[in-house]
Amino acid sequence: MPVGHPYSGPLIIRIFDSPAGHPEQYRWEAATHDELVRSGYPVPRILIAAETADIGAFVITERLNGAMLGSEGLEMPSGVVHFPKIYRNLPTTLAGLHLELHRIDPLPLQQQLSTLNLSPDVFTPAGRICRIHELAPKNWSAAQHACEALLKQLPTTTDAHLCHGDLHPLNVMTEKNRITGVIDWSKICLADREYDLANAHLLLQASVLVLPEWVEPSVNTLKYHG
Amino acid sequence: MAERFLKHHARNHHIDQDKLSFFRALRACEEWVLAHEGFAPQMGEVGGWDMDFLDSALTRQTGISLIHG
Repeated sequence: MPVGHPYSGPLIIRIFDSPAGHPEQYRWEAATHDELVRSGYPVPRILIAAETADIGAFVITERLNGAMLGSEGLEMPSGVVHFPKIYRNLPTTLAGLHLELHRIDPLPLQQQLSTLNLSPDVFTPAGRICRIHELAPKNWSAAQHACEALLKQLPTTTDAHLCHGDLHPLNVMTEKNRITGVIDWSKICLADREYDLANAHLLLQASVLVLPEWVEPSVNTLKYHG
Repeated sequence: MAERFLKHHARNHHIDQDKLSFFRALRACEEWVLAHEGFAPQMGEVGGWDMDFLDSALTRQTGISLIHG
């Protein structure tokens, strides 16, 4: 492959084989990536989005350089010095990425989806609740009731933005303190910005991050109280 | 960390707290169902969630607990 050709660099293949995913997910993600690249947002380009009988749906993307946000510079012993600054800056960096994403006009994407005969309705909060409702076993009444309650309480969308839905440090790649890209757009949603803020807020509080062992106790304290 | 993330946003625009609580509950419900059905990492694993914490976010919004329900 000639140098400079889009397929000449390291690539990633993502296979959409999870029964929890929507069948149109790969096409939706490809359209979104295209729009984000056009907008100048840092995402890996999708080079191929296709579906074959033997593999199923898949996309091939550029492979981004770097490490996950907040993990650079934490190696011992110098990490002890860098840790406070890295974790002081992390919420600000993450918030900046959200703000930049929410500034993008969603209309061109909505038009593109319409051209591709993809319904944006699936990738809305209501669509997500309906998908959870389908996945929850029918005999798990509490989950069924929770989905029904959420549908009843669903707030009206007043200002739809393109939301990532899972924008946390593990999905942000950095190299030498420069963001190389945001990955894993599997929870894309057209919703009010609070959709993204709620997801990131919850993720920062209640999920497990990849961290050196010596850092974990401090971060767990910060998650709930910081 | 999570609170500083929100404070940064609040400096830039209004945050609707009702919507915030609702979407937290939605994500909590989603992760509970995905974990229950084996589609997500389990508690304690990388990417896994504190399921009690998620349940409380859902219960606050809907009054429904997936642990006790």
